[in-house]
Amino acid sequence: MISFNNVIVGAVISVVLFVAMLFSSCRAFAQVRENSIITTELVQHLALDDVESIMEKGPKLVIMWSLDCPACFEELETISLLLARQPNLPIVLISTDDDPSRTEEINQVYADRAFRKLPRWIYSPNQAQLLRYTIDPTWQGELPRSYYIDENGKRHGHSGLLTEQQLMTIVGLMN
Amino acid sequence: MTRFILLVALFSTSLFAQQGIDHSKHGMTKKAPSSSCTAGKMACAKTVSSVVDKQGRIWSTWSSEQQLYLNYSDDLGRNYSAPMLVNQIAEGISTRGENRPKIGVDELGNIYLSWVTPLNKRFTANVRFSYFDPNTKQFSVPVTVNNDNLLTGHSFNEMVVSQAGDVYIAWLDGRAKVAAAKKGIRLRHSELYLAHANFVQGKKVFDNNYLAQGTCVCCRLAMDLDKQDLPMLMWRHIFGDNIRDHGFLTMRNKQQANPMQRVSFENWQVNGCPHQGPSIVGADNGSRVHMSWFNNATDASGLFYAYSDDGGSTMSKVTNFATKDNSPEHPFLSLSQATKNTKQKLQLVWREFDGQRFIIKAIFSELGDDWSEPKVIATAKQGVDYPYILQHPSGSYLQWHVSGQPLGLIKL
Repeated sequence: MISFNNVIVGAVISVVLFVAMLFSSCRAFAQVRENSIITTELVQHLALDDVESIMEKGPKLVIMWSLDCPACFEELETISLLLARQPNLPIVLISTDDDPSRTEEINQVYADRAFRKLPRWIYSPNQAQLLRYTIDPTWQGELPRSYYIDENGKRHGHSGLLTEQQLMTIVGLMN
Repeated sequence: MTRFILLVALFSTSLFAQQGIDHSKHGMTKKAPSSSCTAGKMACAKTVSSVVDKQGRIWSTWSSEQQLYLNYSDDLGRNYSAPMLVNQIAEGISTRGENRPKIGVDELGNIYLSWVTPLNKRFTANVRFSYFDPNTKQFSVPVTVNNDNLLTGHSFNEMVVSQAGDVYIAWLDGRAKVAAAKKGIRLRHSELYLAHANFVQGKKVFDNNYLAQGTCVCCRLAMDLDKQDLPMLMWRHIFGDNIRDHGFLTMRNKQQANPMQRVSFENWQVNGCPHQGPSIVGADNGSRVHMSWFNNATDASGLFYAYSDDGGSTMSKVTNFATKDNSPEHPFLSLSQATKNTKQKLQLVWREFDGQRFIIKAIFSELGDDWSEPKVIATAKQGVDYPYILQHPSGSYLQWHVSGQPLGLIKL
C-alpha cells in the first residue's frame, strides 16, 4: 500500500524533475539569477535556426531593440503600457546586443511584469551581423526595427520608433 | 484593402523574399570564448585604437575588465611591449562599436588617452582622460573631462591632438536634457561639446565649450585639425522631423565655433538610432575637407563621399561609392604621407558583410574627384572590428583586428 507521505514525496520529485527538464530543454539562460528565474523563463538566446520560426506567419509584431538605443526604450515603455491592457498580444522582443557581458542588464529590462508572457530573445554571442542578415539582409541595423508579420507570413518592416498610435493600428490588425 | 493601406502607411515596404536562405553556409557553430583570453590580453579586446608617433612607434590602447591598457610596437606589429595599466582604480570603459577609447600623440611623444565610463543610470556616462609621459613613464591620474558634475549622458568621445600638444576632446552631451527634464520636457537629441587643454604648455584643466545642439544621440563624431590646428567636426544631426543627415563646423578659435553647415542631403527620416557616424580628414595643404558617411534613405542608401573647400558652405558632387547590398558601414578616411617619389593619396576603407563573411574594402583617390575601383583588403568570417588606417613612415596600413587573434597591420 502506498502511503500518503510517499505520494507527497513522489509528487514533489515529479515536480522537481519536470521543472528540471523544462529548464534544461528550453535553452533558458545558464546565468539567470535565482531571483529572476520566474521573469526570464521565456528568455532565450537567438540562434540562426530560430529566425525562421520567429519570422513565420502571424499575425504578430517582432521588435528588435538594443541597450544602446534610447528610442528603443521609449518604444518598450509604450509596449509595456499596451500589454498591461492586453497581456496576450502576439509580440516578440529581440535584443540585438550580442555581448554576453550585457545579459544581466538585458534581463533587467525583460523582467518588466508586462513582458512576462512574451517570447523574449537575445542575440547569441558575437552573432549580431549574421543574425541581422538572416532576419533581413536589407535592414542596415538601425533601431528600433519592427516587423508586422501578417496571417500569410508577409513581413512589413519599419525602422524607427513606432508611436502609440501606430502601435494601436497594428494591434487592431492583430486582433 | 483597408488593411493593406494601413500597412503601407505604417511600414516602409522593405519587403524581401527570405525563402531559401541556407543557414548551413553561415557557419552556425557558436564560437566558444578562447581559454587563452586572459585579463588584459590585447588580442581578446573588443576594440583596439592605435596611433603612430614621429619615430614610427605604434601605440595601441584597449580595455579589458574595467582596465585600460597601453602598449607599443617598434616593428609594425610583429612584437609588442608588455601592456601598461592606465587606470589603477578599475572603472567601466565603453568599448563597443563606435563608442571606444581614443588615443593621440604630440610631437614630444606624449600619449593621450580618452574613454567613456558608463555610470549607474542608463544612458549616463562621463568622458575620462589620462596621458602618458614617455620620459617619466608615468600615467597621469585619470580625470573627468566634462565639468558639469551631472548624472547625464557624456558619450561618443572623439579626440585629436596637435603636434604642439593641444588636446581637443568632443562628445555628445546631455546636460541640456537635465535642465529640460526639470521643466517637464523630454529632449530626444544631444548637444555637441568640446574641451581643450595643453599639458605641455601648462593648461592642465579642460575647459568645456558648447558647440551645437540637435545632434543624434547614438553615432560617433568625426574630428580632425585644420591648417591652423583648430578642430573641425562632423556628426549626425537631426534636421526638421527626424531627418538624420550630417552637420559640420569649423572653429573660430580654441573655444568658439563657426555656425554649423549641413553637409549631407539624403534626407533619411528615421526616429531611431542609425549607430553609424561619419569620418573626415583635412588636407595638409589648402582648405579641402574630405567627408564620408552612411545614410539609408529610400532612394539614397549606402556609403557616400564628398568634399568641401569652404568649410562646408558648398559641397562637391556626392559619390555613393558603396550601395546597401552588402551592408557597408563605418567608412574611415585618411591621407597618406607624401614622399620624394609619391604624391599624397586619399584613402577610404570600410566594412561589408555579405551574409557569410566580413570584407574590408578600400578605394583611393588623389584629390577626391576620381576614385579607384574598390579593392578587397581582408576578409574573415567572424569578429572583425571596424577598419582604421595608420599612417606610418614606411607606408599606410589597415589596422586589422579580429577578436581572439593578434592585432594585424596590412599594407594598403
